[in-house]
Amino acid sequence: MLQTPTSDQAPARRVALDAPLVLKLDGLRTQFVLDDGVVEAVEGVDLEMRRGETLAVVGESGCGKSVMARSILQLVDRPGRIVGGQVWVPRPPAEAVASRRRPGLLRRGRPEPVQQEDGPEGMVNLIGAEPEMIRAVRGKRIAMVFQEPMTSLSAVHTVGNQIIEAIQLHEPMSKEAARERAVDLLRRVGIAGPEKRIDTYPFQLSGGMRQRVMIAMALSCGPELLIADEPTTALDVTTQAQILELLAELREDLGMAIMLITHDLGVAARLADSVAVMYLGRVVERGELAEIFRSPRHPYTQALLRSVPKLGRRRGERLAPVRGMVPHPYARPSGCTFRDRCDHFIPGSCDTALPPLIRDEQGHEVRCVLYKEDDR
Amino acid sequence: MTHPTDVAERQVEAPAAEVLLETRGLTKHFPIKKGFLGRTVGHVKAVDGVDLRIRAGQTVGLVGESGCGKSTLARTILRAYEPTAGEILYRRPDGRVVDLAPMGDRELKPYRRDIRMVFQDPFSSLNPRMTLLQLVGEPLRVNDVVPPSQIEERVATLLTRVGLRPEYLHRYPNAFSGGERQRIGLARALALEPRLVVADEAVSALDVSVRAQIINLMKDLQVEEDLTYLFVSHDLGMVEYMSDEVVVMYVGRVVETGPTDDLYTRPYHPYTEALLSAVPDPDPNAARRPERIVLRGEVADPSDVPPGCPFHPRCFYAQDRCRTEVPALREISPGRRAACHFSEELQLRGIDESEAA
Repeated sequence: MLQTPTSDQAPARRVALDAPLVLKLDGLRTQFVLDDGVVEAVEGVDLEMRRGETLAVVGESGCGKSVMARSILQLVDRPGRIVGGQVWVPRPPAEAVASRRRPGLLRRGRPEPVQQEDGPEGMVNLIGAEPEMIRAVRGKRIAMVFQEPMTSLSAVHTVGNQIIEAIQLHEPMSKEAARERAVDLLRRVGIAGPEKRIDTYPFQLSGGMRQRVMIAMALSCGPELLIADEPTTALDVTTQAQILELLAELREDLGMAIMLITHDLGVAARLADSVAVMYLGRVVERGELAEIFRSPRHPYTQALLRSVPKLGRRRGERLAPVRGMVPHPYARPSGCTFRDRCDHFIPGSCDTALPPLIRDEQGHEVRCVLYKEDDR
Repeated sequence: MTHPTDVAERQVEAPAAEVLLETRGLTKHFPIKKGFLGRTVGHVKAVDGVDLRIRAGQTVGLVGESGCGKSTLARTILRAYEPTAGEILYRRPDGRVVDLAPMGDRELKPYRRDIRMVFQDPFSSLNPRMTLLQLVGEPLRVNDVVPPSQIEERVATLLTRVGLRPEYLHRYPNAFSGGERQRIGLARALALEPRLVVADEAVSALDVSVRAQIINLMKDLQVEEDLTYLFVSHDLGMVEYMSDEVVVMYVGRVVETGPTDDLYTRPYHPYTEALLSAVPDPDPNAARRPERIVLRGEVADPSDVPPGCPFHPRCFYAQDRCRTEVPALREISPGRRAACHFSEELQLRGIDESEAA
């Protein structure tokens, strides 16, 4: 009998609760000041990620997932602005920061930024940090994979040169050594014939290959945290499966943490350890993956899960989508922002104040008034 | 669960359902031109001899990876492309069957009203400089369906039917979100009371919750308007939910067809098995799919199809015979066809329905 070769089922992963933090967001707020008003894209997000953890950030488009991710690396373009909160990351070694500093004319009179001391031990706040510090973290300690590989790769440089540039930017090494490393990286992400492929241009590669190149580039400096913003959205299901497999494998080998930003709950279910559900710039529910899928608590999470057809479910069963639409960003409801689409709306309670974050013993957090009484 | 009697009834009933549209050996090749004189140096075999049958009132799902020719097939059926060879047999309301493939534009015009399309991208498929009245009213005006004085009223009714407010008549598409735009696209398709609607990835660009709303709307309209759908998608979950019958394509050819439940529970082609296994299941607690198959490589180049079975370079079960002999699409069991030499021998895994229910 013929046998189908399959990937091994990964053993149940557990992230040690005492693993060192790789990222801690504290009340992160990002807004876009436009002519017609102010869009609060991220409104006070608190998150923690530990080494080796995979966190899926899910939500509909416009809920602030991508802006949050970009805010972590200070990549928000104007008119976007980070207006509050802190992004704590492990402090990079002093020589990584210092080696990049060049004395410049304009630099001369600038005062040294004050070091914030109130954060977790050994961590540094990226918001308001000096540019050298940000550059020492961005791309090296925290790397990012973007959604559309065709628009985020340069069309006029070979993929090899783009990877080599990233390596040389962070580590002093000769071009030959960097090239060798790039070939290794391409081989590592499963590109056949990396010696030849390194001199190709992105347009000569397929979508899946381009995403592999993006991942290779992100891995070039051995990051502690990989932020993958919709890494498989533009890809076919079969290619998507390949890329997810690759990410899982790299995570095991390199021990890095992954923040997986996706709107696809299926993708989240396949890779993540824990899930943060975002709605209109806030995290409304956060907890362990299996727990969230088994017993979602926030009405939005419940609705989101109901609106996806599951394979093998009887046809004809009606999908139950979330009512209405995401409200206009200028005119968000007061109190709980989900209240006008929610089936459990309680007048006088939901519309007056933002529901507090409720946390149970397992660390399952939810921001909804329905759960207030249970835990008090 | 289905009662055994139900299944029996359906199978007796199925052949009786009238075939609305059938393609026989439908082929669309695009020439590759090179050089100053534009000599043809090869062909992209986007659609290569496709036999497809769409029964009235049903939904046929067309699945496959990108580049497998799904969209080309859909557009060729609509006669947006000139077919290279083959027949498109369409049953008119009076029962006569006509072949749409060789017809000229003038002859085709009456049939254009019967077969309509909903496009994938709601942002690029609507003219941003036309109001809803103009957009939805255009097919009515062009086809002289209603006198110009009644167009506005008719458009308002259509908008209501797809869940938009009639007051939006004079707005431009930029005022609407993706889901609302897709509703406009549906209203446009429905304006002429079509019999067959080809939905090419109609919900792929939408968010999950909006997608569910549009899918529900499409199902409601199917009942209300007595529509037949050809539902093109790469999302197997959506196809399972929407379709009565599924057609799986690979590099321009049909590799497997069959009733949805059957095909999903017991695939006969290794490609179908791999596709099903690749779908991320939004339920980490379900133990019914413990293993997954990850296909190697990429879709074959349709201008340079591998000899033998086009799927053999990626197939885990490939034998010598697969490298030389092209498998024909043949009947494996009643109502089920597959193009694989070893369909009977292979024990392919699908979705285990008993545990899912």
